[in-house]
Amino acid sequence: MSYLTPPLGRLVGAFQKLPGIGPKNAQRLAFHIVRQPRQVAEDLAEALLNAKDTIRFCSICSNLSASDPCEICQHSERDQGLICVVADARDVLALERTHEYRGTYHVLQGLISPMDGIGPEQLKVRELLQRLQQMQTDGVALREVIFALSPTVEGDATTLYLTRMLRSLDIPMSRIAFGLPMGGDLEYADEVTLARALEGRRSI
Amino acid sequence: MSNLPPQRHRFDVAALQLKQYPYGEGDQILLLLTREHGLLRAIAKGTRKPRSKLAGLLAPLRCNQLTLVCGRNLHRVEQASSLQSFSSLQNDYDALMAGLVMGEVTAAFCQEEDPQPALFDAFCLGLLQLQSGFAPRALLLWFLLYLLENQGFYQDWRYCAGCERQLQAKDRVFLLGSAGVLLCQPCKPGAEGARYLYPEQLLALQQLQQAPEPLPLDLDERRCNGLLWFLQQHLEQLSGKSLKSFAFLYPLPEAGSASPVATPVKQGVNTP
Ligand SMILES: [Zn+2]
Ligand SMILES: [Zn+2]
Repeated sequence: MSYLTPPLGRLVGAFQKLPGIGPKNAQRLAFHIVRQPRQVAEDLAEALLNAKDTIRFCSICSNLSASDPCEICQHSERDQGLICVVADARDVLALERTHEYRGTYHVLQGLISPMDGIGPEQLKVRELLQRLQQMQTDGVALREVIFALSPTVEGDATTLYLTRMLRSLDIPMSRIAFGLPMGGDLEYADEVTLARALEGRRSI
Repeated sequence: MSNLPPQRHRFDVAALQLKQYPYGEGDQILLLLTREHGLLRAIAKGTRKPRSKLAGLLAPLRCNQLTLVCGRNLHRVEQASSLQSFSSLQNDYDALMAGLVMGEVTAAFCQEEDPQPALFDAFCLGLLQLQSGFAPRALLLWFLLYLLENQGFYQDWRYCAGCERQLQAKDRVFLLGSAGVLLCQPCKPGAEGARYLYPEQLLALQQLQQAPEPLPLDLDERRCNGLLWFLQQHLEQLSGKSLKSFAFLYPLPEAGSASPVATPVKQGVNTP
C-alpha cells in the first residue's frame, strides 16, 4: 500500500468514485491536478459546482439542460411531431453529431433491466406517455416515435415494453436499424450482428 | 474435486449466458450455464468497448461455443462462436421476459462445478420453444417445475401436504407459497398466506409434474400468473434470494389504463 499525504489521498478517493476510473487513473488525475497552477484547479472546481447547480432535467424531454425547456425543445426549427427515444443524455449528443436528425428527443434516463429489478417506474416512462397524450390533446400532429435504444437485452426489453404501452395511442413507431459498422469487413462481423443486419435489410 | 483443467489450459465449452455485469474499465464478467461444469464465471476482456469482436455474441440467453483459458479465480473468454442465438426472442416481450426469469432462477439455484447436463438441455429446449412461439407463461411454468425437481425439490402435487389425502378436482385446494405445498380445506386453517387454487390450476400443476417437455395448458393469463406468483414465493423461499425479473411477467399496462407505469404489481394473483 503506497503512502499518500491525506489531502492527495482524499483527491484520489474522489476521482475513484467516478465511473470507469480505477485506482491507477485516479492517481494519475490527482497528481496531474496538484502539479498544475492554482487557476486550473479553481476552474475545475468552479465548473463542477456550476454544472451541479444549474443543470436540470428538461420538463418536456428529460434531457439535461441549464434552461427549461432545453435548447432543443425550444428550437423553432425542430420538428415537434418527431420524437426520438434514447436511454441517456449522451445518446442525444451522439445523434446530434450526425446532423441528420431535426426532430426532438425523449431521454429515458436508463433502460429496463429485469434481472437488476430496474423497471419503467424508475425511468422517464410516465413522462413520455404524458407528453404524447398531452400533444394529442393539444392537436399536435405526432408523425413518428423513433426508438434509438441499444441492441442489448435491456434495449430490446425497453423497446418492446414501450411499443406495447404506446400501441393504443396509434402513433407510427420505428426502431433504428442494427447491423454492420460502416467501413467494416463482412467477414469479420460476428454471426449475431450479421443475422440482425440481414433481418434489417431493405429493398433497393 | 474440480473437473476443470489446470490453470492456463484452454478448454472448449458450450455455454448459455445467464447474465453479465461490467467489470473494470471495459470488461465484463459473464455468468454461464454449462453441461459439464454447471455455473461458470468468465471474464470477457474489452467487450464493453466499441469494436469488440465478441460483444455481439456475448449477451444473455445466447448459447455459444466458448474457448476459455483457465485462471486462478476467473476463466477468460478467448474465442466465441454462436451455437444458438435465440435472436427472435428480442421481438417478443413475454418470451424475452420468460427467458430472463429462467436465467435468473437458474443462476439462483445452480452451483459452480456442479454439472447440469439435464438442466442445460431443458433450458435450451425452453428457449427453442419460446422462439417457435410456445406460450411463454406455460413454458415458464414447465421450466420452473422441471428445475425444482431437477434440483431435488420434488413435491407431489397429487396429495395434501397436511393429511396426505389425494386431492380431487372437486376439492377446494389451497397453495402455500412459502412452503411450496398444497393443502386441502380441512388442513388450511392455521396456514397463513395460503391462497385458493382454481381447479384448472391444480390440473395444470399435476400435468406439468415430471413432464419432460413443455405442455400446452388450458389456462388463461390470469391463472398462469397466479401459479407463477406461487412459484416465485416458493423459489425465493428456497433460494433465499429475491427474484426480481418475475415482476416483469405480470400484466403490462397500456396507455389509457389507470396506472400505466406501475408495472410490477402482482396482479392476476389468485384472490380468495
Ligand atoms: Zn427538452
Ligand atoms: Zn389435508
